[in-house]
Order: sequence, then structure tokens, then C-alpha cells
Amino acid sequence: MDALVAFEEAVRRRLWSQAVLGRVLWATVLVGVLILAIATVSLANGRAVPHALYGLGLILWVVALLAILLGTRCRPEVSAAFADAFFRLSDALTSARRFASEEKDGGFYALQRQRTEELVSRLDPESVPVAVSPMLCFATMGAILLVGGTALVPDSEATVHAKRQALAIQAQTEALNAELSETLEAFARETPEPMGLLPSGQWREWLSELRTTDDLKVAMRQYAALERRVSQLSGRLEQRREEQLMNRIGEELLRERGHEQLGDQLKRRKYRDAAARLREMQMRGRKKGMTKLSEKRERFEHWRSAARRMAAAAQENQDRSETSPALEALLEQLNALTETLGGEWQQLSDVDDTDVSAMDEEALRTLLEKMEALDLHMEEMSLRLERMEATRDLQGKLRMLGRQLSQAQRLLAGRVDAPFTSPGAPRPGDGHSEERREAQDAVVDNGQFTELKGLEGIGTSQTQIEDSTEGTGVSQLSATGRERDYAKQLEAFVQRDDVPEQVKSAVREYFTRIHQIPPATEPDGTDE
Amino acid sequence: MSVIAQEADAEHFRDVFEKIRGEISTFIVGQGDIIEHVLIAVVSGGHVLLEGVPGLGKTALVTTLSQVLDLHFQRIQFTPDLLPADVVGTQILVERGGDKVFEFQPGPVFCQVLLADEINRATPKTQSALLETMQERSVTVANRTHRLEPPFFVLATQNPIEHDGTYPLPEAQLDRFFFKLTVSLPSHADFVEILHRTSGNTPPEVRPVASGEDILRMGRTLREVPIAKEIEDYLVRLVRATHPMDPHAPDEVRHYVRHGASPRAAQAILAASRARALLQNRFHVAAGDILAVAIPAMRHRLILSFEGESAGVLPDDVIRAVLDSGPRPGDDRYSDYQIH
Repeated sequence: MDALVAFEEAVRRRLWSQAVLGRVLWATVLVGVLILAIATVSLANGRAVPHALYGLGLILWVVALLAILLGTRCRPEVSAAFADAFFRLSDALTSARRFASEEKDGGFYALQRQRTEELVSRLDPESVPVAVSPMLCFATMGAILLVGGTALVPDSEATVHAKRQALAIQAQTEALNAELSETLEAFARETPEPMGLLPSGQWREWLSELRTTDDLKVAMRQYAALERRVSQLSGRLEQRREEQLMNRIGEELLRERGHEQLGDQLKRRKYRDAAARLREMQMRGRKKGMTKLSEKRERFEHWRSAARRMAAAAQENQDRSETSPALEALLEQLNALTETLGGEWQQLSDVDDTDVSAMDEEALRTLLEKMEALDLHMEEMSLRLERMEATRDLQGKLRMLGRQLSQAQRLLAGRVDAPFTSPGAPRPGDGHSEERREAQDAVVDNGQFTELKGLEGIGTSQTQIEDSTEGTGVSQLSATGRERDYAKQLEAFVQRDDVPEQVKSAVREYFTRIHQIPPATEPDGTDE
Repeated sequence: MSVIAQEADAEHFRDVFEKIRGEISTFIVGQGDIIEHVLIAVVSGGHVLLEGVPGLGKTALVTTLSQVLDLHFQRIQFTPDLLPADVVGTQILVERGGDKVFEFQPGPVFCQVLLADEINRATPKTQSALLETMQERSVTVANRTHRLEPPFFVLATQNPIEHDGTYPLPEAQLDRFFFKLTVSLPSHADFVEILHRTSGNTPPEVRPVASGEDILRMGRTLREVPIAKEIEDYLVRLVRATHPMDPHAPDEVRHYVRHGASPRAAQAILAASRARALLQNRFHVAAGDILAVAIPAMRHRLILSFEGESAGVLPDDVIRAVLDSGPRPGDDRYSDYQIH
């Protein structure tokens, strides 16, 4: 190989090494600074630097290294120029290289080449140092040490606490979701909600929306959103007025002999049973063989008394402005039809079972048609009752779900220590009376209670006015059941052994004295 | 040309140069740079403008050089009443064979070494009489051109401090000068040596050590010295950077220079660099050679602007700024690497 070319090549290798080394150190510094910046942000937020960041930095560094190795070039003319400067060759190599590339030879060109070869033969290309600036070395070392140092900084106490809390929240949401899933699965396993009260697959849709998370806000938001939807659906299924009407009808029917059972069923909101009972009362009847006209008449009369009671109850309901228009309209129709039919029966009052054949065929057909229409209305009433029962069942489920969701939020918010209670079971804080042997019947809202909601100025007053003589004394009319219950509960509570006697007497005194009216004071008469 | 012949020429160049320098140094004390630059200009075929206060040995240097070179020497003391004919010669009426004919009477420029002493004291008209002589090495009088015997070079002197009754050399005239050298005060030791050499009864004797032929051969030799394209580009870039409109011009040039150096400056730098390369026993021109001769070759070719003149900026400072600002050959290519 040509001596000059070999010399240039040797210098070029040294330069390439130097350039690669310098760039690798720069890349190290840059990657280090990048990691440091991210790590600083992480540490400033109280979090230990995630180990993945170091792995990512290492990968980035390796990629940069490969790019440097593949991308660093040192052209021969560059190494010639560098060697001229480094060995103080007064541009001899550059000139020789140029003359050679231009294929100039002989004369001074040959002398120049010969002289340059003599010069480089005395030089050692290995004396070109593969070194980088000390500042860069210090910067690299500093970056590595600082990056390493960041790995040793642990989470701050707040972060540790937050992580612990996140784990707890995750565990809590997991447990809550499991319980909610169990409830929803149980609902979904049951027969689909009848009469299209609930969209098909609604339970499973809600089930699929439950997510396990370690973010308190997300978890709270999730349960709140689901609770809101459950509440909205429950609100749409509200049938308080209908139940109120049925309650009144029940009360009316309880006074009617022969309809006590139906009245009791309606009063106790056993609408499905009431519907069955109503079906039995239909004219065509479920009882086979009811063909005699007298039986039909008797049956009609039996129904008629019930229908009148129902109409009366509906009327009373209207009077109280607690209308349920659809149901009342149905009851009115039913009553009107009954009264019409009553008139028809009146005309046939002298007809006996034996001479049915002698009846006017047209009148008989009309009668039967009207009885058929009455049966249809009664059937509609039965269906309405069944729907009310189904709605009440569904509302119970929704309330239970809503309560679970509410309880889930309260649990996450730290307001309660235990998750859900099963339907009907005592809730935290319910307790029981020490005076009673059996556990107190806790007032568990399992869908059997309605909530009084009203608008200002609408509806009947909840207060009752009692006429009384002037003076002090306990009211003969209980102010509200609530007040009485409260007084009983509190008086029962203070009967515990650990309650001081003074407190017991103070409580008794309190409930006694709140009803005492202080004597009116005479005006002193000094005012003008 | 064969390698051996070229090597012999290079050897001859160095030998003769050193002989001349050594012989001059027997009479002229110090002023090594001035002597070297004058000799480089002479062997390159250029003219030199020597500037310095009186008494620094300018005239002595030129006369010594003429003695050392054994060349025909003439001296013209420029004065305001000097006429062009007094310089280049004139037609005179002579009687020859009974006829009266005009005959050219050569002036003092018909020599090989012309000392134009205090050249700025002559009128511009007379100064311009030297233009053709310096550039073409010929004199045209009465439609007849008379060639001057080679080698021919003009060594002019001027006094920088006496401005009364002087006429600054026109730019065209200045551009003809290869170098403008500023003769400075000798050092203390040189001063003492001057006293020793000139205060005795026998002044130092100077011998001729080279001939005109030697000078011409040296000129031919140096023109053979090759220059790499990179160095050539650097030279051109450098000269162009003295022009205020050049993109590489430094701020000093943009602010203080009206016109930069001409291509003659580049030619002078190249020739002087070649001579310097040979003197340093090299057979190629290096960037360092260019840097070494750039100032004397360009300082008289820069025309300063009004701002430059009023700010008292020296052309040397402007040229130094150009030399400092421009990247050296290779700088842009190995800037990634450090030289320790």
C-alpha cells in the first residue's frame, strides 16, 4: 500500500475513533439529561423514578450508539487536512493527495510527493490521541452519577400513602364490583322483567360497565353515574299515586262484606293476588259450570258492590287531588259499565233460571255482551294490578342496587366501614333494643316503602288540625307517628344500664314538656 | 522537466537567495523581513515600494542590492519639478551625416535596478511615466517602444510623515507594486551594530554574488512550484474577502474598505508564496505561505472608505481581520476533531 495512503488511513481510523467516542459521550450526556429531566419531574412529584425509565434510556442510548457507529464517517481528505495541522506538515499531505487525484506527476509534483513521504515516514499516526474534552468526560460522569442517584431516591411518604390508598381503592372497587356483579348476575338470572318494564339485557349491560380502578375519583364517578341511571329508571317507574289509590280502594273494600280478602290484598299491596282474585270475580268466571242466570246475577251483584266501593275510593282520591288519571278513568269506566249492567239486570229481575229460554233473545245477547265487556275491563284491571306488582318488584331491585351503589360511594369516601348489607338485613347503626328479647325490626328500606316527594303548594296538607279547648295539655291527636316513634325509640335507648339516671329522667321530661304550652303572659300595660 | 533538474533548480534558488541575503546582511543590519521580502519580490519579477522615515536605510538597501546582484543600477531622486522625460528619456535633435535627425536619448529607467527615491514627491504626471515601464517593462517615446533589459525592477521609497509638497501615488500606480514594505526602526542591538559598521574608516565591502541570469532563472523556478486546489481556493477566498460586498468579508472590511485588493494582489501573493515555499525547502505552496506574505502584498491595494480614513484605520489591521476571520484550508472539514 502507498505510504501516504497508509498514513492517511491510520490517521483516519484514529479520527473516527475520536469522533465516535466524543459523540457517544455526547449521546450519553443527552440521554442522561433527558432521563434526569423526567426523573426530576417524577421526584418533584414525590414519586420514585420508575425503573422502566432507565430501561428506556438504555434502549435510547443503544440506538444512538448504533446510529453513531453507522453514521460517523471520516473522509480521507479530512484526515489528510487534520494530519497536516496536527503534525505541522504545512499542507503537504493535502497537496500530495490533491496532486495524486489530479494525476499530476514529474518535476516538482514528484519531488513534493517524495518529500511528503519522507516526512510521514518519520511520523507515528498512533500519536494522534483518541481523546475528548475533559469537560465532556466530567459531564458524562456527572450525568451517569446523577441518573444513578435518582434511582436510589424512594417514594415520598405522601406517594407511599397514595399508592397504598390506590391499592386499597383497587381492592375495594374489586370487592364492591364483585358484590355488585353478584347482585346484577342474580337479577339477570331471574326471569326477564315482565311487561317491558326494563330493557332486555339491562342488568348485564350495567354489569359490563363495572370497572376495577385504583383511582378514587374514577371509582366514585363510576358508581355515581350508575346510581344516577338507576335512580332515573326508578323515577320513571314511580307509581305512588296508583298505590295510594289502591290503598284507598283496599280500605273501602275492607268495609264491604265479602270483599275483605280483596281489600286486604290491595291494602297490603299484594297486587298479583288481588289480580287473581279479580279474575275469579269475572262474570264468565273460572269456575266451570256457572251457567245459571241466578248465579250470574248473584256474582254480578257481588261485583257491583265492589265496583261501587272502588269508584267511591277513586272519587275520594280525586277529591284529595291525588289523582291517578289512567287508573281512575279505568275505574270510572268499570263503574259505569257496572251501573249500566245493573240496569239491565234490573229489567231481568223477574226472570228465573227456568225461563231463560223465554227471554228476549236480543236482551239476553246484549246482557251477555255487556257482561263480556265487563269481564274485559276487569281483565284489564287485573293486568294493571299485575303490572303494578311487577313494577314494585323492579323498583325494589333498583332501590337495592341504588343503595348498594350509594353504599359503595360512602365506603370509598370513608363514611362507612363495611360494604353492602343484604336486602332486608340490618344496616350499620341499626342496632336493637335492649329491652326486647328479639332483635329490633330494623327499618330496612327494601323497596317496601315509598318516599314522600312533593311540590310546594300541591297536594294535601300533611298536618291535621285538632279542635281543642284553650289551655295546656297533651294533644289528644298524635302529631305525627314519627314523633311518637322517635320518642319511644329514644326512651327505650336510654333504658340501657350505662345511661345515667339523670339522662333517663331528662329524656322523659323532655318529651313531656315539649307539649306543654307555657301560660300566656299578661301585657304589662306600660307600652303605649 | 525531470525531477533531478527541478531539484537542481530548487537548490539553485535557495543557494542564490541565501547568498544574496547573506551578502546584503554584511552591509545592512537587521531588517531581515524587509530584505527577504525585497528579494522575494525581485525574484518574482515585482517592484517594491519601501515606506519609512528618513534614515532607516531604504536607499542603502536598494543600492546594496544592486551591488550584490551586479545589475545595472540607476537612481532617480523624485522632485516636484521632475518631468516624465527626465525619467523615461526623450528625443533629441542630433546631426548625423549632415542630416539632423531625432534620436532617442534613454532616460534613467533604462537600467535593471531602478531606485525611485521619494517617489511621492514627483507630480502624478511624472509618476505615471513609470506605469508602462513597471508593467510592460518597456518605454514608448515618439511611437517607438524600447524594451528594457531583463531583469528590471523598480524599488521606490517614500516618506510617510512629510506630506507637504508630496503627491500620493495613484491607485493604478500602487497596484503595480508587488509589495509595499514598511521599514521600521531597528532594534537596540541592530542600532549598536549599525554604529559599529558605519563609524569606521572602512565601510563593509559588498561583492556581487548573483547575476541577472540567476534572478531570471530563480523566477522561472518559482513559477513551477505547484499549488493544490484547496490552497488556491483559500487564496482566492482571502483576496475576495477584502471586498466589502463579499459574503465572507469581516465587519472591518464592510465598514472601512471602499475597494478591496485586485487580482494582481492574488498573483503577487501566489508568486511570493511559491518563493517562500522553495526557501523553506518545500515543493508546494502552503496556507502558511499565503498568510506570511498577504499583508505586504495587499496593504497598498486596499482603498479605505471615508469612515476608515477618519477612524485612522490601518490597512494592515483590516487585512489581519480578514486573515483571522477566514477559515484556514481544512478547518471546515476537520472541525469535529480536536488537535491537542
